[in-house]
Amino acid sequence: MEIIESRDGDRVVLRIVGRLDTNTAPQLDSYLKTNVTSDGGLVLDMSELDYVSSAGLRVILATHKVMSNRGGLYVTNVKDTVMEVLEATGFTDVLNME
Amino acid sequence: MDISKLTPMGQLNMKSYMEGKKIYEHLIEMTKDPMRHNTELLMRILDDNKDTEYGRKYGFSEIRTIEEYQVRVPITMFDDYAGYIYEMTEEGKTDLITSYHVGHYAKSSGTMGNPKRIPVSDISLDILNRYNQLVRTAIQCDALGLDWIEPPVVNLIEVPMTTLKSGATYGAISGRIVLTLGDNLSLFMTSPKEAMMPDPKTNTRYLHARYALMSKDTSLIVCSYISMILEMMQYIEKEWRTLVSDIESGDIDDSIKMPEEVRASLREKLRPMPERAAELRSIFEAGFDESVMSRIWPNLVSMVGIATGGFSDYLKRLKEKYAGDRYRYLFPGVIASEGLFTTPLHMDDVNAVIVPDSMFYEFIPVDTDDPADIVTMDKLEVGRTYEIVATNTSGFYRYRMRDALKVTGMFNNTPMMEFQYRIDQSMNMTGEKTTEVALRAALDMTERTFGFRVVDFSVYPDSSGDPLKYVYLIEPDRIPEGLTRERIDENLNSNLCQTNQLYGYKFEKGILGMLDVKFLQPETYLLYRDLMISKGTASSQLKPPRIITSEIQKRFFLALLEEDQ
Repeated sequence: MEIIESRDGDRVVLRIVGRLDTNTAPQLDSYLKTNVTSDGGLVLDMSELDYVSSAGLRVILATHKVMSNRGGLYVTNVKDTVMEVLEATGFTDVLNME
Repeated sequence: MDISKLTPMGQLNMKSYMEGKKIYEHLIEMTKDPMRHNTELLMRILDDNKDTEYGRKYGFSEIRTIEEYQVRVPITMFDDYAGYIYEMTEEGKTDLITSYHVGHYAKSSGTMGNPKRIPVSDISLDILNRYNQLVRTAIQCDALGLDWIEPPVVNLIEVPMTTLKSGATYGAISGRIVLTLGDNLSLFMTSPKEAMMPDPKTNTRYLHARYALMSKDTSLIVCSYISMILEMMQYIEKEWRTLVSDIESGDIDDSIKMPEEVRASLREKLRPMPERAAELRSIFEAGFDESVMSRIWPNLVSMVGIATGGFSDYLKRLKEKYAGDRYRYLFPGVIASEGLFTTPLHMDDVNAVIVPDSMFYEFIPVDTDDPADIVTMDKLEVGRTYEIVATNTSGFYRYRMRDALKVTGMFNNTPMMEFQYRIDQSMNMTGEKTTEVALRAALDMTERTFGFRVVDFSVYPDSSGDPLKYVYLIEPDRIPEGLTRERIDENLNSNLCQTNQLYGYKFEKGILGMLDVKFLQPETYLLYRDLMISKGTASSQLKPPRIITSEIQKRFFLALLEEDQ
């Protein structure tokens, strides 16, 4: 999995490339803790995310909670296969979908 | 014992012991003639509530006997009270269903839909407190000795609480009971208030574990369900390096999520504990096995938590992995938002006796499920399983609890009962009624046969094909190399035929088909837990979703299957 960081105004944008599963979820978790420290909000660009598992969803949910006081977490450009998972697990009701 | 030499907490515990002993002895006396006390309670409830809207509607003032009560007042479900409860909570109305003061509404556990608000009168709360704290202390002190009283308690119960428009509190009943300790809370509990009354964004798993580890002298761990202790130990096993480092430095690692003001508040109070950290590091580097809890807490003697029904397996795993057979356990009996039903009389005994003056009881046998077969306490048969129908002080009359309890024996003249399963949580596609207990037992047998472990599981009925069948969703811990799902299907199906013979009969006749096993992704049940907590369910109320009853739950789990299925 690759994480590509950019900015959109005050918001940090992370494009996640590849798979977010049991093996790669800790990598995203660690990256978020170390590199995302501002209060301007965070965008997860899922345009190149092919797969998300339970472990990946846990990291996303935990990040959503942390970012709720720091400008919010937003999810964008979700592929159909991943969107199906987000919808079926109720995550689209919890996350800020753009 | 010289009471003046005890710490303030020790003196409070001694007071609890003495009060609890009196209540315990009164309970024993009641068990000799339980129907007299139960009938007196019913008549008192009817008399006190005769002028409520509900009481006037059903003529409480004219009822003189149990038989008249059963004729005049209907058997009820939650929907019969929903309108009243709305007016009570949103408009502050009183004397609708109860004349007693209702200071709390319990949040029921629910599935993934809207939780219910269950009224809890001050009387009911007082009964819960008396048995949950005072009588428990008496039982434990009698078994473990009075000098056990001193050390602090690891308490994993969280009490997120809100206030309704009526001014009543709203949250899990287990949390409300803990709050009755008031200012003494910090004397009894190792966890800080930031963990016990948490902001939703606080990592309470970390806080409970850290403060528990800091408290070497702990002799007691208390929780709602034994699964919470297992989860704490699993968390410690996974995160011990961070925990020990923080204990050593007196700081909180930045990776631990919590609001900044919570972090600041905790940091002000924390101090470095290098000696304790070194001790723990040495313990954890030696490895986690069934002796690890005794090494962490050398004075630990007892644990309290529900371990019946669907939770019995968690106790087994706790003992196998971390606790061994060293400890004494107190299983709390049957407590629901609607009130206290049973209480234990001894440690290490899942049997608990009905409390005759807590509420008025009626029982419907689950094997007939026919309200016409309803009986009172004196007509219960040992070995038979019943649904409780409760009349309490909080405004519920002849209320079907949808919990199945088995009569396991008698104490004096009072039945002893053990929780079996939630009635709406049994699989019943063709009349076979497979309970959680049977589903779990079958899976246990399969685990032993093949030597694999299951983190957790759920089952749903699959009516999409012919014949109908069960689908087991399993999150495995480890599956031995070469073991196929087909072999697991066959073995598990065979075991289920044994644990529920009616299922076996239906399978033999081709009415039910071979069950199907599907594997869930790692961390699925942790995700379920995280999601439910983020939606407002108290961690102390979370029960494993053994039987999937809603399409929402089914979609959730089916979206998280391993990729090759």
